[in-house]
Amino acid sequence: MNIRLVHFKSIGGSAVAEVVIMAAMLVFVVFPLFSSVVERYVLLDKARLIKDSADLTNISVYNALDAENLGKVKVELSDAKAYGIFEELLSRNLRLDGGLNPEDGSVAEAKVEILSLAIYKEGFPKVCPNGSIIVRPAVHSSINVPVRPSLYRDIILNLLGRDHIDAVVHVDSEIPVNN
Amino acid sequence: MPVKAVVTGVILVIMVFLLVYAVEFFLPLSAKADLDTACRDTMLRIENSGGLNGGVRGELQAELESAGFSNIEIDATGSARLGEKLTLHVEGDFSWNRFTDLFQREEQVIRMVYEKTTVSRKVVN
Repeated sequence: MNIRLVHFKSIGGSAVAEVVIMAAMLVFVVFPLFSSVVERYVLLDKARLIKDSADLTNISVYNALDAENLGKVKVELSDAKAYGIFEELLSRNLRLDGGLNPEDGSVAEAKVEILSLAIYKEGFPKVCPNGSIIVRPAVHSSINVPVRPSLYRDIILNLLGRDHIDAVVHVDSEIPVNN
Repeated sequence: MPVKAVVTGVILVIMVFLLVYAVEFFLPLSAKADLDTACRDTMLRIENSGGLNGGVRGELQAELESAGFSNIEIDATGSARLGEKLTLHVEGDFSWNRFTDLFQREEQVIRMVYEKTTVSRKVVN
């Protein structure tokens, strides 16, 4: 009788231990691992979306400026004009208002900053402000888009001690020279 | 011994549920990436041709349908001269089945939108 009781306790203890181990694995291994994978995937997806928009905007700036100056003998591109076109197209592609602040559905969480913009048409090779070597006609841009994590947003931001994460995206877009 | 077998069985069910749930979580994210890629490709083509024509529209529609989208709406600038703005607006419903409970699956539908603007670089000689 005594032996049977001990045997029963042993089986019961084993099952309980299995449940406890399983729960601990879920809480301390599976959920954090899954969350970090999802978070990373979402952030990479946001970065891809921003990079795609910046690339599209780069090419558009060149096309717009080039078209406006096709009839002129001497082509001079003022920085203000290039910035103006870049801002307008970036606002459309990232859903920002005129002041580069996010509107509904924008990937940005706060005001977007244009860190640098440069158009390279000749005199190659050249080095862009971020250190990349440009060997063909290209438009360089670097923008800072504030983003926030999707899961455990408050915890991550509190740990970092910040209101958002700065996603600095640098894109050098080669100009298609043949139509 | 039966107790342990039952517990192991329940744990296995929960593990499988979590695995399937995790995989299904990525389906809409993957679909959005497919939508963006297809639209980006179309954007480059209409940038060169100066607008969206019927052939390119049909190809985009077919590509999105094969990626699992329905109720697709494609709206784009039809014709633009060099230097003029071109906008491509695409919307579509993506539906997939997912666990809403441990033993319950339901069809979910999410409306995805792509809208970007570029500048035409078509040159008419």
